[in-house]
Amino acid sequence: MIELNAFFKSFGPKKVLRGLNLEVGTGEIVALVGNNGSGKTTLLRCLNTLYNPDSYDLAEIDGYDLSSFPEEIRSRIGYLPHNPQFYPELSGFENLRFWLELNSMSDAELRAREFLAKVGLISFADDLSGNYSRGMIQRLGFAMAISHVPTTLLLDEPFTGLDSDGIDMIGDLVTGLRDENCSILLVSHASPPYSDRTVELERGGIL
Amino acid sequence: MKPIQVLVKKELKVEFRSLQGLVASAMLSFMILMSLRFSLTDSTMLQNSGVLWASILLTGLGLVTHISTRESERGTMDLLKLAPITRYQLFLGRMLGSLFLLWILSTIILVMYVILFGNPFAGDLALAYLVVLIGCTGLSAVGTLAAGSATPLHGGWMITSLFAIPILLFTVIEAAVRCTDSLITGSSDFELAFMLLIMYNAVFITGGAWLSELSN
Repeated sequence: MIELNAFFKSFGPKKVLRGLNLEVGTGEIVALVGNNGSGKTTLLRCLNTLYNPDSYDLAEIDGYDLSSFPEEIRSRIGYLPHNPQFYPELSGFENLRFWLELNSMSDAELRAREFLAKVGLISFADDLSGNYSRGMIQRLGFAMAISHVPTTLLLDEPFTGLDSDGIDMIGDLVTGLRDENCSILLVSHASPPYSDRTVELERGGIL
Repeated sequence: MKPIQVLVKKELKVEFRSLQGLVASAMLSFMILMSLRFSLTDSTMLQNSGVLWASILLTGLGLVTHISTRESERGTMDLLKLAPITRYQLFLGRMLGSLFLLWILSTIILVMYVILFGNPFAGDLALAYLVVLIGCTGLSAVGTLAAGSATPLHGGWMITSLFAIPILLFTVIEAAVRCTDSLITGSSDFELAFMLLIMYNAVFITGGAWLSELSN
């Protein structure tokens, strides 16, 4: 569950998020739409602790304060960036296993294979990720975002580079996670049909 | 301890698959040693170990900077920062990963040094090797901290050197040179210099971990 109240973030003199209020409930998919530069990605990067917010009245994920419990927050969040990056010298399987081991997940090897199968990459598991296409990178990024069983999922333009099968696959997995009570904040230019609610961000505030 | 091991394993695997940093650094060391071998005509300068440490400092720092720059430029640094580990674990994992690679590089440099300049350490070569390995620890700690702060900036590799070389020169490198020089001359400075070297390393590792945690 995500709860934000009077949330501010700026870069120097440029105010990006201005007193934002947002709530994403347990088992809810919220689509966040907005023009370029409206602050969508900045919001996600604040929520996953990559950026520090300037100030807020309330900023909690599952009841944990963003600034006070960054490790706890990161263990609960699955994040798919707009342009996921991996180690090109490692295979898709090795990249995913590395991530799971960093998250102290037991049976990392088994789990890595399981999630590569879920995103349709199992037959490419041992290929170097440097040779993956844009769509395959997106699938691997999605596997990484969900493989450590997060309670909150932040997806930044998750359909970029995907074919229709890939878009359907992400849709199925996202709705499956909602049924397992995962809170999902999905940034996109268009709201997908399975989202429970759509909120529009403009100039750093919810309309 | 587990996340640190995972980070070290990843660093070694990535480098051994590409060999970009190690091979380039070893080649540069060879050129530095060769240049000094043929340009230094004063034999007293060649009798001490300054040449060895100059090569380790310049190319070792280059290797550490390369590892950090690679992580930042690819965007995989974000991936590491998203992991639910503390910043000091991240620092120690990256520092130890660089340290293992530095140990390989410094072993190659020591072998080249012995071949090009003869073996000035005579029977104390093993002890000199130990000093080199320990000296690399401080280099790795300061280099990782400096590179971590500077690589996101434009010209970060240069800023890393500007920041790290003065710090290392008057601490780790000076103590290490004293150690290896005392092995060559047989003076009684070794124990004191060795203690100093270990102390500097401890300060830099602890300080680096602490500053990483603070930077969070």
